Amino acid sequence: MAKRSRRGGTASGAFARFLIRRALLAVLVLLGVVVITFFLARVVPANPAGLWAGVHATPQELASARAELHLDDPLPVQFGYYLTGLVQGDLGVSIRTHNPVLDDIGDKLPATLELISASLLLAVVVGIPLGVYAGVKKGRWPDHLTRFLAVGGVSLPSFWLAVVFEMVFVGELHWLPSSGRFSDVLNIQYPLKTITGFLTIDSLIQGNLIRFGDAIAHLILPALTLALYPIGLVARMVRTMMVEVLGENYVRTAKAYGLPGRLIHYRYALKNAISPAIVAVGLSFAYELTGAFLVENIFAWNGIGQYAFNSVLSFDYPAILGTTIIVAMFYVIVNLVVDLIQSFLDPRIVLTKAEA
Amino acid sequence: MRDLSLEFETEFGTAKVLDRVTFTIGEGEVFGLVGETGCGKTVTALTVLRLLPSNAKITTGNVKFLGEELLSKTDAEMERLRGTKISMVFQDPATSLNPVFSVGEQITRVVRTHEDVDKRAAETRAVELFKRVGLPDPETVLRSYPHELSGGMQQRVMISMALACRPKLLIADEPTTAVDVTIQAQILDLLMELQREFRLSVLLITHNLGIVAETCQRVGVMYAGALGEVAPTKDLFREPLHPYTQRLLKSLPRPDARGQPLASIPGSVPSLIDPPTGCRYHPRCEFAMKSCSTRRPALLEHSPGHRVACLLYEGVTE
Repeated sequence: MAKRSRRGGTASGAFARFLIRRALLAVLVLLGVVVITFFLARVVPANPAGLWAGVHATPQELASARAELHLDDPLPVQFGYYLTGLVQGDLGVSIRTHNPVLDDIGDKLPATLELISASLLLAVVVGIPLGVYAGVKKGRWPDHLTRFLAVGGVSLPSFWLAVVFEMVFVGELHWLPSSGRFSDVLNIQYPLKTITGFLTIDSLIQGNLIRFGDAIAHLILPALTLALYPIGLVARMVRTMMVEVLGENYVRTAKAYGLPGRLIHYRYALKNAISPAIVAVGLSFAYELTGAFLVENIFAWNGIGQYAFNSVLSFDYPAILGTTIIVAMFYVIVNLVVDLIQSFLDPRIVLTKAEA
Repeated sequence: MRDLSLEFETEFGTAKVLDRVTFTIGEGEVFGLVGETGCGKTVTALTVLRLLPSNAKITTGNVKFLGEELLSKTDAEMERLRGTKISMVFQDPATSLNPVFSVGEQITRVVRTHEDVDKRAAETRAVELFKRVGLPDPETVLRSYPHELSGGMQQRVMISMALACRPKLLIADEPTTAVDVTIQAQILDLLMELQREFRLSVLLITHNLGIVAETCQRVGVMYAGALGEVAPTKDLFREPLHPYTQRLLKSLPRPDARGQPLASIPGSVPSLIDPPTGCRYHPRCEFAMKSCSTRRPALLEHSPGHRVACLLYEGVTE
């Protein structure tokens, strides 16, 4: 039997082999994604050359655009050009913005990552204790209350919530800014260097508390809107698992040895109950990369979701392909991270064992 | 423990799980509680620790430990008692240990909950206990997870945990049911050794009369939630009084009865939701009289230390 990596020795070798195998698998997955998206994008009748050259383009300009985009070559040849670029880290040039797709994504991705991270942090920090509490108080009012909140969070559409939040906290109460990631005035007064692209982190690194507060204020509403669904999901998953785990013999053992309730619930039981919630958070993360575009739109959050949305509307296939590949990469990475967390939490899961 | 009666609210009705159970365990004494599956042995044990499920309701009786009433203690007082003065070894060590924490963490957590010691001191104590219960390579065991240990080793870990805070009373709920026969004997021997060494009082719950004969000074026979007979082990085997005990002893396989079918008790264990009136054993009893179905026998002393609950010994003839 393969030993776990924490035990050192040959185990770290096995762990390295595991990572290599997962990396190879990831390449295969990504290749599949590229093939499917590339050919699907070309099935849609569109006029990329026309978009590229503009509305008033002359026939010569159109022809040179077609040549530049390799549109006159057969599809497999075009795919060859694309793959060659891809392995060199070149995702092509956006037809809509005329920027390299990679630059565009690098520009927008941090905004979305910051937003999703904040919303999923909320989901974990609020959803898990809520689920534990509901599970412990099963059948009593805290359980019913969290069920009500969770069902509400899961079933209310985010675009509707976003509008309601804007009306209440911006329109009526004037507590929070309505849209964007920062206020333009402060941006001119206190310019920030871009380091991570996360405004909250960049402002903290540079010790600029005014910009930090501004970034947080802009982040609250969209993050909260996005968080309600995963909060409800996580709370319900943790609750269901907690109810099951609290009936286990080892929980009775812990009680029989006089361990305090908090320790039993939040350590002994939760560690056994949290796995499905971690999977849910991981999948939400990958999904919201582009799934958050409605919320991004309403709050004018210039992120990758909006970028993907606009690319689709204008048949900007290099951009569509580029974002798809990046999102697929995140799926692969998130899955790996989820697996690693699970094996860390549960010693019975042995990742390094050969998988069928 | 006096007159302990207990009910479970279930969706099928109220189950009268315990019916006026009364017994005492002396200091340093091993008391065996025998009976069929579902007769209320484990519930009796859980009552001592006040670990009953929420649908359980104690209707009468009290449980005294070192002169103090356990049933009126607050939850916080009970938490301090559990694991320190009274501890319990469970039936199935594989599911009674938390699968996602190392056994060392689980045992040191118990020690550190009850005593003001640091992690190192708690680990040292765990290693000593592991040595004492015969676990090979205690430092490695400390860092092992339950699934990496065999059933026998898991039970030894449970026993170490039970002894970690020097309890006065050890409740062992069928401690050898889940391990195979060779290990059973080892675990029992170990328990008895430790019992003498720590001067433990032990409540040993089992359905195995052989185990009782080897280990217990006194024994209580339980049937359908009621105690039928309480006696010193020797007396019980020499002169069983209760008809149920007599049949139980007859049903043990014997070398001189080779080739003959095993004796068994006709009928089956009654439902506790609607238990037989009077003596709960009377529908299966070969000596049943008319009044057995109406009058409930009391647990009365028949000879010194030997008590039985049966109308046959109350001078009732019909």
